[in-house]
Amino acid sequence: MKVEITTQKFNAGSMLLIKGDVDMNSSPDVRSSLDEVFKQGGAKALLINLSGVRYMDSSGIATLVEAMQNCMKQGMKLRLVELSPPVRDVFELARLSSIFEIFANVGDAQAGL
Amino acid sequence: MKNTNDIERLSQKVKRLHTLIEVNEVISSSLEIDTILENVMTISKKVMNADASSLMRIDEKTNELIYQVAQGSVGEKLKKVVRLKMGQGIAGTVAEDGKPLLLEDAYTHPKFFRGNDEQTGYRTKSMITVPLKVGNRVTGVAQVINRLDGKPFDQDDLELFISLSSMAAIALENAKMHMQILDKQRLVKDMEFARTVQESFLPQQAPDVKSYRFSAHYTPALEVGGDFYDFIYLDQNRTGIVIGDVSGKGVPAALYMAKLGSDMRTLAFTERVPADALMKLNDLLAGRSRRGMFATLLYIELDATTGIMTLSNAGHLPPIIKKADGSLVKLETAGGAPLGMLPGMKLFQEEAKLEPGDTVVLYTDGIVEAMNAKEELYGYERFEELLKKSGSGPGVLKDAIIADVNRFTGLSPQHDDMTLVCFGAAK
Repeated sequence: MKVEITTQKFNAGSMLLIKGDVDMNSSPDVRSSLDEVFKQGGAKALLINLSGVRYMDSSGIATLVEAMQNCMKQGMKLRLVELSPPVRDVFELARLSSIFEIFANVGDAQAGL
Repeated sequence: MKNTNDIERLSQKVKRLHTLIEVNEVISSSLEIDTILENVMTISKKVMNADASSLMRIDEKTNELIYQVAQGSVGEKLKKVVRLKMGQGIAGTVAEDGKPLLLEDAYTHPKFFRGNDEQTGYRTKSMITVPLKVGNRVTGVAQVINRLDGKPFDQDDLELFISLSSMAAIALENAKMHMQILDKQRLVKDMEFARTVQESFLPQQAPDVKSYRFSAHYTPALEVGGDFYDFIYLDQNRTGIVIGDVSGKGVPAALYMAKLGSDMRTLAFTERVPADALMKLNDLLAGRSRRGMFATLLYIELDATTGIMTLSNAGHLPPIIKKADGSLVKLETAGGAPLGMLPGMKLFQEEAKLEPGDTVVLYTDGIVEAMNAKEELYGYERFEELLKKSGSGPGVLKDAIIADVNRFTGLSPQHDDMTLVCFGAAK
């Protein structure tokens, strides 16, 4: 399944909306969309909306880890938004909630930025 | 009655048909690109009655034309001097437009570049330049220059040269594909070799610990993979047991795993307790992080005298203990996130006692996410059901799990490596 990525701007930064499976084949697309955001720079936060992602493998998680590391370098906040139940399971099993800031909806994620 | 002119043209046509057959034979006789093209251009030069012939190929990296074959009095000189950009000179123009060009006198064409003639002392007069095409893609340009009888090339010459060049184009493409196949075969061989090297990193035999049994299984999904396990002899009483899964697959995962495996071994000896070893390992990995790669890893230190296991789990799937009474216990506590994501991450550890007859099952997601032809997952339910109903003992349990997973997947190729480690205290 092909992945669809749209980037939206909001006052504190950008939000990536990902639809589709994020796996070994599609994570390079996610990575290049993220690169675009980092190239522009200057934002306070990056939100990644995962409501349209039903499946994510370790390559997909690695892409998010790289985004988190880049955000730290640029002094940006990375917030993951609306994890679907199967992706939430993956995050819980691998104890990733201690690594990422995860929010239930866009409103909560944008609050306090 | 036919006039002499007609007969002459007819016999010329027959001769040309012969040439095409001859060229065809030359093409199918070899896959050596230089040999075929050299032969094709030799025949072309002869049949076209030309003083010089050349063939240029488009260098895909620079999108420039480079001489592949140049024959005739100035051939060798040409090969050395010329690289043409798209649209530059006659050959560059033909390569760009994709259309053949017949010139009675090259000097009348505004794009003709006299520099070569000036450098080589040659006088180009009549020439035919034809694109080499595969479908609509231009891969190069073929050229004949100056008829030996001094007359300019005509339409018949053009038609013949187009036929010859289309054969040359096919030859070029065939040889290129042949090269690609050879490269691919070499890569496949390399990967097979890499797999044997990687397998040599895995324990070659189970640890010999009094009254304990160990059993392990490993199958990579691609030729090399990112799963691994290890048994570390710490001292007479203590054994380290490691299972892990590196993010991604193939060569990057395998390289990461190789370094991770040896770092883990060192830290198992130098650090006092499992959680400290994993925290140090995490800092090492996070410090050299590339593309967000990470690893889940479970490290257990087993004290054979007491049966106490000290476990620290960095994001790996929880170990399951099949107790002597047949019940299952999942050890879901103590640990933290996977290694290599964040420096300075805290990790915890816990202890569990292994009673005689208990078997510990360590596994990677390739087992629980094994997929059959209907794209159904093997899943935890099936896994736990099987663990409950199978016989005890590390060897028996491991064989039962692998057999059941294989039965479930059938011949479907697997997307993930499968690793399984079972160990336990004998009754």
